[in-house]
Amino acid sequence: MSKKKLKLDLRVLAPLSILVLVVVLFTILTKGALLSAYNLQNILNQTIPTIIAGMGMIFVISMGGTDISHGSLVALSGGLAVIAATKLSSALLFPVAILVGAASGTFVGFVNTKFKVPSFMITLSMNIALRALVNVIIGAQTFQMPKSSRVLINSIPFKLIAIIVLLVIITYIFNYTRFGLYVKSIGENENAVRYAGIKVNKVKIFAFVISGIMASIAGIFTVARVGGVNNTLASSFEMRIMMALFVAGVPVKGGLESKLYKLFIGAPLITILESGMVLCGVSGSLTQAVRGLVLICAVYLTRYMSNNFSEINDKNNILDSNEAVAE
Amino acid sequence: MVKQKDRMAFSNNKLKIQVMIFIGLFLLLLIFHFITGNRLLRTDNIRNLIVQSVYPAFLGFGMMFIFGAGFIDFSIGANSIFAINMGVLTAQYLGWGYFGLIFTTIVLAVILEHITMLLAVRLEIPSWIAGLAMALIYETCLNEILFRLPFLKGTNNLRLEDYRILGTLPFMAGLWILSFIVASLLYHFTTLSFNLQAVGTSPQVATAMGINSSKTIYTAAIVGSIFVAVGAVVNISYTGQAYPTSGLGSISILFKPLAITQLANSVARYINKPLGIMLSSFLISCVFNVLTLLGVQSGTWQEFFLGAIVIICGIISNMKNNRVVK
Amino acid sequence: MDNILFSVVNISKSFGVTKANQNISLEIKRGCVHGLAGENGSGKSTLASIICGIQQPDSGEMFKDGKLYKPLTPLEANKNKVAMVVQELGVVGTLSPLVNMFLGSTQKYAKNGLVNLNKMKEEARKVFEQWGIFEVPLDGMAEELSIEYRKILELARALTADPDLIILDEISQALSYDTRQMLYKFIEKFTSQGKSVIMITHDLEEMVEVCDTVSVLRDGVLIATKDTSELDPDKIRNMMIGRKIEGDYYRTDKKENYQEEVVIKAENLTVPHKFENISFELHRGEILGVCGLSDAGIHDLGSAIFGLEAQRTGNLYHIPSGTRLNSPDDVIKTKGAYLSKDRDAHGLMLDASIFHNIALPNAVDLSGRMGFLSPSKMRKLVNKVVKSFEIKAKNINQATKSLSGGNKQKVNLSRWLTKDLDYIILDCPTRGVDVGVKAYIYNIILKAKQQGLAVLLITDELPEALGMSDRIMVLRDHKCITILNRSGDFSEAKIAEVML
Repeated sequence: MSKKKLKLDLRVLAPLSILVLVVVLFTILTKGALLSAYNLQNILNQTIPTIIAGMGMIFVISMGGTDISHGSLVALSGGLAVIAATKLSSALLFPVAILVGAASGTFVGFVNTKFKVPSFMITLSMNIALRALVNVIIGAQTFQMPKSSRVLINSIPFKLIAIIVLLVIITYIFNYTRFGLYVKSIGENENAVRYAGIKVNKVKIFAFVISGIMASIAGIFTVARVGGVNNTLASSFEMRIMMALFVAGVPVKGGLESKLYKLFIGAPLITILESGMVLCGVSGSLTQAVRGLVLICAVYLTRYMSNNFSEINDKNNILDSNEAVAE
Repeated sequence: MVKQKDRMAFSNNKLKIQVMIFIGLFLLLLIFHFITGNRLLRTDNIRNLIVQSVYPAFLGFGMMFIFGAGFIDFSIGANSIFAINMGVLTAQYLGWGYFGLIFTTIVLAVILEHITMLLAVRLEIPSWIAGLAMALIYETCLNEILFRLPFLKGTNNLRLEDYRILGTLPFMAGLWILSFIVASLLYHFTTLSFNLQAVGTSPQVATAMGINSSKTIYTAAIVGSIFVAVGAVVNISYTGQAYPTSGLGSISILFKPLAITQLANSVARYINKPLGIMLSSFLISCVFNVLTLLGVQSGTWQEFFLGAIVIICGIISNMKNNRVVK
Repeated sequence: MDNILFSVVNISKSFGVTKANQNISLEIKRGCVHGLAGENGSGKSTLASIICGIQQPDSGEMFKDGKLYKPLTPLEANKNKVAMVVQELGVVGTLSPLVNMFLGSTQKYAKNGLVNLNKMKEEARKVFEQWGIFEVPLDGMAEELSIEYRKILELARALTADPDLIILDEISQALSYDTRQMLYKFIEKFTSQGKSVIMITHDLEEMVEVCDTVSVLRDGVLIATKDTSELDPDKIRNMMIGRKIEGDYYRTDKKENYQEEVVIKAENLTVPHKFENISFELHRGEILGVCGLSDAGIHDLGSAIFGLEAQRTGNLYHIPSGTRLNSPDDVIKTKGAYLSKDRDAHGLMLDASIFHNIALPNAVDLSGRMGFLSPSKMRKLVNKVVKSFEIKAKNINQATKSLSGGNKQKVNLSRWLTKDLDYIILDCPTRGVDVGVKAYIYNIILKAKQQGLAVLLITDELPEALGMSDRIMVLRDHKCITILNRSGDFSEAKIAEVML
């Protein structure tokens, strides 16, 4: 592979520059508190679950679907995993969580493909239903994660290794398999994929399964950070993941512009934005309003840019010089 | 005239199914009554059922219009909560009485809904995102206002002490029925409804007929939000307390109406939509009443059933759908 | 001048390279039934839609009652007393037939906001009575009506505009015998009042009987306008299709030429309301053409073979592997491919790059263990395809929607032909494609045929079928009427005779 030239792509520059802007803005506003070691640690810890879950949700979004069940899924899978870990063995933490996530994803995918119910509706309902289940199972108590597991998972090396491993796996699946190509193509034109003879339903279900599994894995990290599971764990988590993706320019309708690296711009952006606002003393509810505004602007801008800049982008795309094209 | 007998055979078939649906409903109610130890259909419980049906029915009628062209806007919840809080504020705390309660709520609901619709129609932001985003914003607006009210130190919920006559049973039942009548009249006899259905079915056919899609959608949203507002007024008159929400808690009030509209959609071929919504509102009420009577706690399993029922109703309603669904 | 109700002067309309209407001029006399004849793609539907305001011409003018007539919407056309019954159904299923009839003008009957349905019903009855139209059941939901009744409803709707000029586009084919009689009586009454009808129909016998004048279009050009007294179905047919088949555009051999081995065997394929009992054998190295009128089911046959019609019955086999073909996956696995007629909606991802479009059907062949798909392998393949099929683009990352129609189709086709295929189903492969690319595409199809590819060529263009096929299967009224051989009577006249 010859060396890749730097893509002077407006669609990368825009979210990146917004990230830089936000960092600079809040550093000034918080008189440097934003970048204190303690706060950076915080930001890192909060960004990691978002990135992990985002790596799963991007599959669903790139198909044009929606998965807003993550908040409750995290609480449920985290809860069940912790219970299994305390009652049986700590080794069950991740397996149980993954199983729950996979089951949830299978259900959503099945109802969406076989019964044609919009994924938005299904996952929204599941958000409520699963949260209710969490209440049934956990009630008002808090279930602590076994200390040894907690310490292990919270340690920096573990987190680093986990992220790298997951990143490698997900990048592989998303960018280097035909499944990844299909998922993004469904977002572009589902009919074109169907007419190419590809089993669209299978692809969709699998995408939801991945989304569920990654959410649950993220859940374990969240539980470890918080210490245990209670019934309000991870509320609105799904909003945060969605925003991390949309704010960095992943189109709502998905398609081939859904790129993984955008998650790594968007997740820190969201976390820093919120951290910055908290440090500035902005009330919780105002933060929420900002989220709403950011969501609207991000979605609008992404669409605006893809409508008006795709041609320019193509002109700027420099091919590797070895492969000339007949004129 | 040819095919007179074909026509009769067809409408007889339809009639048969309609009758079967009603019989089925009736039997279902009997079963419910039975498994709750004959408590469901007792007179004092029936008033419970009616009271629980009213707000969801109003919301369902509102959705019939607002979602009529396919714009699924989930800011309705936050919208109505904001509007009703302001209504209570003007009625109770500013002394504007019934006028304040009703007028303020309606005006605000209409305005807020219009804003969300603008985002979805003009800016072409997918309606579900526009809805969620505006829900966040409307929730915040309410919380910020309540926080700054001088007389609310300590709590953050407004109480409606007086002007609650609409929350008494005769009024609630009457308004429930009235909402059905008005919704039916609007649905069956107005150009707005005809045009809305045309736009919702096929935008191309609608444009070919000379229908202005945007105008239809905005007007329908106004009508829908009036239903939502009146429903909120009736509800607050009953409960007496207005609670703000945050973190998209406002969406939970939309779940029963969602189930109701999905159910109504699935039998829309045999039972016209307003009637379908009316009957579904009562049926869903019964379902949850049964759960309560059987000891299922609120907040846990009831919520679970809420989610499950919406999914089930969604399955039923989309069964013949052949288009690409995301 | 008083005799002429409506005139069209030098109307032209193009869609990309396709010149749908080229300088068409004609006059509609008062009290006249003016037929518009032509095959699929001849431009008659385009002309009709321009007259009734659904589309605007690129150039040219229209006059009604001597005044300039330029409707921007069908509603404006209605205001000028021009109405049309379109070919595709335009009925809102959830509304009652009554409301459908007055959709868009229901406000006229509103009092205090509520529409007076009874008044509308009276108006509807008046229209039915005045014109002798069968009374469509006005209550219930329009989706409950049969296709026939929906057509009648649309006719009634067109009449509520009280038009002087009404266009009927392929209306009779949905109607039963007695309903057609009702239609003819209506036309008589209508024209006796000095109003005119433009009638588009494939039934040439009907056309000669009912119309006073017939204009024949071919390839977007008006061939002739003649009184029906001078015409008969054969003469019209000849005008519709008489054209020179250009030189070595197509094949030059005159005999069918394919191997003995059967690749695809179809037995009694049926899809309710689309086609019934279609059986055929497709041989290795054969090009089997499929022709028929637009509603004969030829296009549905293609998607049914591919496995997209859930209600298909009958048997379909890939003989070399002995597999039954029931789903798209079966077709792909047996080295088959399908190109739908609608390449923008069903074939290409328009916003995506050429690279991605070409890669999509080839991913399964290129991917290795664990589904690994190497981007460099894909790029190599795509570049190879672009080069060998001479696709004209700036680079492989160019968005597909910015390509010309011909190049788009090259992308669409080449990505399949580059695979090792046993058979391919092509539906209108040269639709919307300029002459140069057309020739190119025919060339590569012939090359593939020589290498043993079995081709099912579904097409609306008779010359294409005649020029390329070894045999042609002709469908009419949902059934297979005949299969013609290249060595036999293989002419447009013959096909038209059978097809129309």
